[in-house]
Amino acid sequence: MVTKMDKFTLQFTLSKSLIIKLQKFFDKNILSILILTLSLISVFAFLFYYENKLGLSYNDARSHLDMGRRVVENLKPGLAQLGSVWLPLPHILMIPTIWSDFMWHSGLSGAIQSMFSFVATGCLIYLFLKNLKIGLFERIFGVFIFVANINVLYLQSTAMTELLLLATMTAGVYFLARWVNDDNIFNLIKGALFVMSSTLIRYDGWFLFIFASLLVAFISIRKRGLREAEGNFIFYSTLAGFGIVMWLVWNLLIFKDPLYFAYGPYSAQSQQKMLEEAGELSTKGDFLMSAKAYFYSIFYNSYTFSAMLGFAGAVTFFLDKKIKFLVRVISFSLLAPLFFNIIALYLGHSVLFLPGIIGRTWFNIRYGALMLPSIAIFSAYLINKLGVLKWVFVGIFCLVIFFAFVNNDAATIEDAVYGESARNVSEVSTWLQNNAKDKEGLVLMSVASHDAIIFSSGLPMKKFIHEGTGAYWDYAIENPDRWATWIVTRTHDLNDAVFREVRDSDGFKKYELVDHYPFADIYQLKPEYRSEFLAKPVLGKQN
Amino acid sequence: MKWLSKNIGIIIFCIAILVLSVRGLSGNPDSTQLNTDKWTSEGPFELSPERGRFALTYSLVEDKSIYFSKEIARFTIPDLGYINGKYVSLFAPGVSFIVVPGYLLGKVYGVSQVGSFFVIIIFAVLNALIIQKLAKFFGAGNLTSTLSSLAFLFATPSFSYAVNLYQHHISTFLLLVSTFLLLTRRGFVKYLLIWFLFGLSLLVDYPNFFLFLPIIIYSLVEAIILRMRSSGLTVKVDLWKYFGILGIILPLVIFFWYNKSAYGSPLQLAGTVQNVREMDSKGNPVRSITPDDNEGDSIEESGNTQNAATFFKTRNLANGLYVHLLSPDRGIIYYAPVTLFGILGIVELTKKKKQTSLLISVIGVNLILYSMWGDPWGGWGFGSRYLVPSYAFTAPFVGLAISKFRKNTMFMIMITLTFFYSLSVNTLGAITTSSNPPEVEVEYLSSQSHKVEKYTYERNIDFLSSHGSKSYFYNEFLSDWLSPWQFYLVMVAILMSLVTTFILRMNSFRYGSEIEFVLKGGKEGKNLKVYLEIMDKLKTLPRGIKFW
Repeated sequence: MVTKMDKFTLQFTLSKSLIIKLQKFFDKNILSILILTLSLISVFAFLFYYENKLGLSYNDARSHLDMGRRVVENLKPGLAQLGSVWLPLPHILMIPTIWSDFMWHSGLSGAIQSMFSFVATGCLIYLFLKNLKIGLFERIFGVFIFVANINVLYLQSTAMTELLLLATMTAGVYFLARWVNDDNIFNLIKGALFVMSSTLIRYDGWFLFIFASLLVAFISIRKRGLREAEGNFIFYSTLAGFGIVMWLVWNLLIFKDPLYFAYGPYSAQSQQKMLEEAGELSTKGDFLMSAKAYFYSIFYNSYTFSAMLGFAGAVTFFLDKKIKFLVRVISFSLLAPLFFNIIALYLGHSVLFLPGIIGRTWFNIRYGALMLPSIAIFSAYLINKLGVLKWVFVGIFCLVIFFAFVNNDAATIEDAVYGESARNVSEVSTWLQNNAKDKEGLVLMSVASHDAIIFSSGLPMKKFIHEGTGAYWDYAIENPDRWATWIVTRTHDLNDAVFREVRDSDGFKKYELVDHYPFADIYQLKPEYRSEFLAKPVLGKQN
Repeated sequence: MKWLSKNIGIIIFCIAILVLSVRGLSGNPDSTQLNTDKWTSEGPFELSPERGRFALTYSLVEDKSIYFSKEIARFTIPDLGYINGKYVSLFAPGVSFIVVPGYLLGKVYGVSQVGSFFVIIIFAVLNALIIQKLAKFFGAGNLTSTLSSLAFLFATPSFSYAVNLYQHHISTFLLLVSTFLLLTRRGFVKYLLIWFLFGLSLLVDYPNFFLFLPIIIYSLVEAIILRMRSSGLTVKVDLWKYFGILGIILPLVIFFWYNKSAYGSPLQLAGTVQNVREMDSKGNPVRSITPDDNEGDSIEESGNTQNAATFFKTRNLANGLYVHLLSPDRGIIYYAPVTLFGILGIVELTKKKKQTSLLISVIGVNLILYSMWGDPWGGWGFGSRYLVPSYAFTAPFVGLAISKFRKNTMFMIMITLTFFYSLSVNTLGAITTSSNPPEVEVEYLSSQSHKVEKYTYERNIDFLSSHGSKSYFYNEFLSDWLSPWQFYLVMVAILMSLVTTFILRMNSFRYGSEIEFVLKGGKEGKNLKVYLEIMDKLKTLPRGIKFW
């Protein structure tokens, strides 16, 4: 490198060999650099939200952690605690770490998966774009679009399941795209495995499974004809759909109904029914409203400008004849979350609140984040096509992100702190911590209604009698005064399983109301009856 | 000078139209007179942005102070600031300072307000001329570049904001000059000037900081030249170009001095001080708005704890884009559809000239920034006033689109009709009023007034019928001869005639500089087409023989 300085002009030359060395270095190590950088960002973000006590704001995050904990520590521990409605993979992944009280109560047991998924998704966006032969700058920009987003940085610091789903879905589509390019059966297998994983995380994965299966069939017919397509389709869908089959079998074995997750008392359908009766399911049966709600949720999660770039990029991509037709077809899977969420809202299986558009507060706004990897990929693709104009859009994107960060714009955090996804149960949980922690006796409560209280109380899971404790529950709802020192329930709310079961029992009359609190009331067994109750767990291992 | 003499006709024409349209009243109003309806709701100071800026000009000249007297403060409400016991402006001071010469000159002739507004006209005309030069730089011909200027000045809401007292034309001028310097000039002085203009733009309007970013970044990157040679990649950095940043020192000094004097801190911006919405009879600020003028014990606070960046929120983007582009109360599609033809010019030119990315950047930043703004409507107004810079930067591309597609009859018919529509709408806005409410306020307004309130240019049509025109020239000299509608129709006719003339002249020489003769053959013979490159020959004629 030769450097000259003359009349306030600096001139230096990078030799060709140096340039080639740099190029080789980047080609070889860019992925490692990316992993390292994303990991550092991930850890920093987690620590930031942990210190600010936002990492556990989502009610669902606490419930996920509790669910994982119940498998290892409970009055009736075991895999059956994985339950029915929520798909099991996130909780299974927690099992190796959730036994630690710190990992449980810090949320790290769940956040770790999100953090790994964040790094993986960033790398997958890079690899996807590399597969499309997009330039290096644009690949990095695609990753940047995904990462420079407070909603993503926040969600990856929590025990929520969105990032895990994003990673598996993106991986699934990536390997399927590789398979289309190189016809390598192992890529088809990897694609199927990741899609299967996604079907065990959230029901969006089921839609992806159906969507991708149809595309695989179509691609196979186009490539090889009907006969081979039949083989590919069966091979792929058997592998990718295995998770769904397992889940149905699980529901059959544990709950005696393969569709218990869909129609049981704790299912989303039941919850949506309550909302519908309250007149708050305005997207049901209204396609335009459903589309509007979901598009706004995408805008709020992506700061709108990148969504616009992404949509323009998607249109350009699907019309670009320079990209193999079949690659474009399989990439259509990247739009699966869009179709799934709109259909789910339309059918009333999902609910979304956005103040000023639907509802008075936030709820489930994070669903829009499911389109972020797709937006990143299509945006980067568009930037690659724009030639000299790309700097205009890169610059404007940076301007928008500047304002997003300056204003701390994160709809997901607002939902967690102020919206329907928040649940400030600190009063109840503090009371339990102060009055039940060092005393003998069990607490009877419904986890379906009050899981957040269990988490926030800091008490061991073994302290609680709930729906999943088998015989403890059965006996306690019959004779609560014999089994529980305290009852936490929402009085007069028949949706609260404890209140519904014990309200008419004689035993319930032996409790005195401690106080009314937001979300629940606490009842304590009157002193004169305390000699008769069972202070400790007495039932052994249950079948 | 040669350029000036070549364009003197169009310059005079533009000034004439704008002078005919400028809003105002005769007189040198004092602070008491300014608070009457004659000068405010019924006069040229119908909206608070105009009042706020004129108030500072008046205070500087008449009271020799940057603080407002109680009367002037009352005139400025609701955009009135209050700090350290003094009333201050809530706007950046640049516009107020710049129009002082116009105020003084106007005062000599008994038209101080008109004189102030006239300064904006000068900037508007200068903008039109720079647009013409930019269009030529990008390859438009004489006629099409002039059409670009006319499209900007009269076929967009820039027309309305050229005849009152807003910051938009001054901001646009600074952006255009900087862009022009960047693209067409060389040397250290260019960079010095660009930074100077950048600093000046902050005095005019704070968001100009962001509008100038593409220009600043372009100038910084321009200093780096990469060349791939056989020996390797040569990187040359002209460090001397970066010394141009010294140009910002003087405007920044003025900026900090003003902020310190007015608000107590050099870094305190106008919009972040306490906002007074009402004053009592003694001239003290009050908290609540009550009929009996309570002398409250503290003033109403309005957004005074925000930092400046929080005025722009990404969550407003979707709605903001709708307002600026498609809404019936402000959308480009209703108020300036002729600018949309610029997209064709952009598409065509981007393939050839990378410098187009600079203009597109300014347009993009302008549109996105003000879509994130909490009030994309710009309060009550005519069309989208925040997009005046975008109209200016799109205009050269309109001319280029016309150059490119002028042989396409359908295109020419469409653009001509769109031009006519845009001229009609914007002339209406210029000679009537800018006080159109945003659609979101109409329901409340209607409930208060018990009538259907309009929010599009239909409101201007009604205004013309019921109140006439706010044009100073019309009210002073023409109202005895022409009805308001006649005045409007004459203005539109003049503008349309000029545009039609340009378009017809452009297409009368269908193949550029050639004249086509068709010699018809006999019954069985073919026609003979002869092209004479006569225009090229005409250009070589001695001077003094003019064919235009």
